[in-house]
Amino acid sequence: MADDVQGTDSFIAELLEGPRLGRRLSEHGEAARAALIALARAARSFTLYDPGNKVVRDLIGKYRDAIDSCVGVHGSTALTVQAYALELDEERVYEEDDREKSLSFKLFRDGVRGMVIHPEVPWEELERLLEVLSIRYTGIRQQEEDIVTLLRKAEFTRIELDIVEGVTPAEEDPEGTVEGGKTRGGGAGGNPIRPPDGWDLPVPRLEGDVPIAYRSVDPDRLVAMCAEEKGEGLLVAAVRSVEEVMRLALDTGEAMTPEEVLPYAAEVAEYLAVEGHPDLLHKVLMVTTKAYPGHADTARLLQRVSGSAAWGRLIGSADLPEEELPTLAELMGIVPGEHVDRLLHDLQTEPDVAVRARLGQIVLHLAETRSEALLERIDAVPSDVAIGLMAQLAEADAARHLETAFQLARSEYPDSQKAAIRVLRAAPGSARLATTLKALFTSGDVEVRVLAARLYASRAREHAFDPLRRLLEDRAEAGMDEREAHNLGHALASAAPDRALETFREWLKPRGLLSRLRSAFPDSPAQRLRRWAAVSGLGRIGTPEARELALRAAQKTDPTFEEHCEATVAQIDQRRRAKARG
Amino acid sequence: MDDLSQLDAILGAQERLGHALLRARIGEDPALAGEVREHGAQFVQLFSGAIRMSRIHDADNEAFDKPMRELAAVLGKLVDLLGAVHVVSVEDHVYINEIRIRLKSEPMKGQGFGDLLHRHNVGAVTFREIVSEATMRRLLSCLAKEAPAEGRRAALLQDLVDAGVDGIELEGIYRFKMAGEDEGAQMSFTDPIERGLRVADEAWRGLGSGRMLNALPLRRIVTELIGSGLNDNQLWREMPEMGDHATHSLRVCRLALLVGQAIRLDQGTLQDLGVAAFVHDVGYANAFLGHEEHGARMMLRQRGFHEAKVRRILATLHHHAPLARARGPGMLFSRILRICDDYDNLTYRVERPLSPHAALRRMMSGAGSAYDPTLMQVLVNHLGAYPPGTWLRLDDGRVVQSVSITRTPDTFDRPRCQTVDGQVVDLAVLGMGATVMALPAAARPE
Repeated sequence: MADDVQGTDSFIAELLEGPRLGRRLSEHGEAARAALIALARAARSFTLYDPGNKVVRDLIGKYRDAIDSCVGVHGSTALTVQAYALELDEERVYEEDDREKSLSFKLFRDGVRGMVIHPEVPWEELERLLEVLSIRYTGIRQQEEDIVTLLRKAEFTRIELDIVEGVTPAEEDPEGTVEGGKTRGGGAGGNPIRPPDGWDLPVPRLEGDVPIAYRSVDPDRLVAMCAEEKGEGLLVAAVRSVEEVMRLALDTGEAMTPEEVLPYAAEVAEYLAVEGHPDLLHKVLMVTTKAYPGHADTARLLQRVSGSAAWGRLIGSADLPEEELPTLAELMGIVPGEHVDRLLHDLQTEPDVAVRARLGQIVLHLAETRSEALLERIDAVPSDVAIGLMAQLAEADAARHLETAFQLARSEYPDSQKAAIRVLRAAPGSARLATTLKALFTSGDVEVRVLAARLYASRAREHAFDPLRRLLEDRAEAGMDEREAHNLGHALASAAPDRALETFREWLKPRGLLSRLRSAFPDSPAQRLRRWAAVSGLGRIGTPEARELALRAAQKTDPTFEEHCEATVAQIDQRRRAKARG
Repeated sequence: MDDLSQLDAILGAQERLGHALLRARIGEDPALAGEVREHGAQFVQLFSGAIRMSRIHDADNEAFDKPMRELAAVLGKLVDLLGAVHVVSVEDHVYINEIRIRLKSEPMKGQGFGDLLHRHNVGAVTFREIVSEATMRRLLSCLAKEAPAEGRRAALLQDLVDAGVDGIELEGIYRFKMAGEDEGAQMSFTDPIERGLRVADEAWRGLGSGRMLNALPLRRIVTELIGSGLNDNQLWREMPEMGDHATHSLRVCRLALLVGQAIRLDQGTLQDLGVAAFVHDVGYANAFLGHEEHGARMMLRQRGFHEAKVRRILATLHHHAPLARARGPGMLFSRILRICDDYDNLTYRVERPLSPHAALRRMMSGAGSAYDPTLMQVLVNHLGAYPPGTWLRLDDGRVVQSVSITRTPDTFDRPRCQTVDGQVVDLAVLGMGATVMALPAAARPE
């Protein structure tokens, strides 16, 4: 596994590293030290990096390797946890005085006093250990759990823990009483609780007695029961809890208030986003916005969802089932935020093909609800999605088809530009069309330039001549290929044949004596390309004069150009014969 | 494992860890933690300063006016945020309601603050309500007094009682526990049971006073109970009385954990069930009618998401719902709690309690209508024909009390028992031929 951490900024490396021990350790001690440092580094890495960062990945790999090397080679590794140190058989293998950094302090404070990692410890358990410590390192305040309850929950099989209740009375002989009463409470005891008389009674009326016996219970039934409180069952329960408290708030008003239930709904909404369930999230948001549409806490709830990392993750998830996408698109209409911008940005920058495909699908689902926003930004959408999106937008509103094409023509993606030009063929002539097509002359794609030039020529006719001539000349200077020269020559000829003939004549004019004397050299590349375009244009014009010019151009030139001229003349002749035949 | 599958494993781990952290962050209320740290540090600093000043000036001296005002104000903020405010000094650390307070300046470091309290053999002070400036002055006067050589904390408490200081509790000095301290000591459930009753009472008091639920101490007790083994007889002994509400909560928790473990809930869910059981009736701290809704409302006050919160809200709302409920059956937790709640009420809290054996027979008649039949059978299977607390007459005439839950299916109706004078009688050893008769609860020997 590559040690990228050594290559990172020294400050960060120092933050991750922790102090080194000066003394010499046994081989087992060295291996344990390496494993513990790797564990501490990996757990702390989440405080410095995004969880998806490569450094985090490398550190997890190093942790795994180091544990393997330790318990795989040296067997069970039994560590004693002290406040600022971890010991292996009285060898101090980890030491860190900084409480914020110290792995041992985090364990010690919550009551872990020993840890044994056995050989063949499954990776899942090592991962869970890392998870528990990462959560504590990132400083997340757990109102419900500490390291001990989290570690108990992990149900390790190959990691043993020695856990004590964290603190203990320090008195050898505890003081117990004040005048026979307890030290706690007494006169300074706070508000005692006295539930009302007869609370929780009577019990339901039950008729008769039934003999009891040991009866086996269907194990499948138990599995189904446990599932109610896990996974999907719990997610559904979370939605149900919001529905129920919302109903109570609406029905009773006094028993529960919107200020009490809406923050809870916000928490559940974020949870559902984290778990990647747009359908359930949608349900919670609908219930909430319907119950308290104008409430400030409803707005806060929506903002909270919008601003959460989970929401971003939900949008960017490649794993979301396709059937959930319409709901997600609908959610984007409820949750505030520049989702379209965010989506399109991600679509442009996301390296993962699967995620990109999913983002594209979401964009397509937005066609109906966010057409305005998408239309404005369609030029930023990669072609594969943009073309589909244009079709979708057209399907939603046919009148917007041309508008979409105009927007799409601004795209930098050649396939989008070509698709836009294809649609713009149906557009009536206008200054906007001319501007759009002229803008496409600067496209980096030859096919786009040619298509734009041709369409422009066919629509603007005489007006197109000068811009097309400039284009041709610029492209010749830039070193276009002969195919582009051919097409641009055609475009020029079709825009204004008479003016084109004059221009071509000029370009093909035999060089004067001086010029011929000065150079036994051939034409410059730009000259040659202009002449090439001119011959092609002559072919498009096809008049006897054009034929004559093409024939003359074939003289005293290189064989390829001569061949081009002859082919052009042949084309003209062929067309004329065909015309004569009717 | 080849390189590719190793990379896959690491990529998978990275993805899962990222997800776990994201989920954990929803549970976080960074604003709350930040406020507690900020106000907590201020409080400790002001409190320490005031104790030192009180050695020089009388508490009614004008020099105290401003510090007292500030101290009362900052304590008020903490009480508003947390409900009961537990300030605990452990060695050189100071914690306020589980949140470690970072003290930067000497002499306000933890040890300095701790030393001031340790003079009175006090390691923790709990403020249950907002304390007025006048009360704070009286508290300082008491703290300024010289502590006697013996019974220092008791003396201080007596001074507080005499001075009419209310709403403050004192505890002894704590230190971090070391590994192996319990080794050799006989396993005893006294501590978790007593602490369980205390945290149950605290939860009720806090929630009843309009505070947020502090679930961690409850979860720690639940974790301890599970970790110690639910089939240990010691756990099923009678509990010391500490208010009907606390004992009921802990007994229901004990039963719920038994059922939850029997149906193989995973550890996390089992912990959540135990905590839900502790607080299922807490709505009664505020109201008689609609205690379910009041309880759920109390659960809502806790800030930050946790799956346990969802479970608690639903369990609190529906723990009295019959199986055939109009809106569909309650979730698993409410169905479990329904059974455990009624069992405890029938055996302890009704006017004429039933014996545990009779209670199970009675409740069995409601299986399928009032109670989930599967869960009911699970409870029966694991409590046994004669659950702990049942008085039995043996065919040799001896009267014994059952002290164990079911150990094996074969000994379902042969629990371990105890005679009135403490002699152990294991009915499983006694032989299957021995006849046993359950006595009514009213026939309990004195």
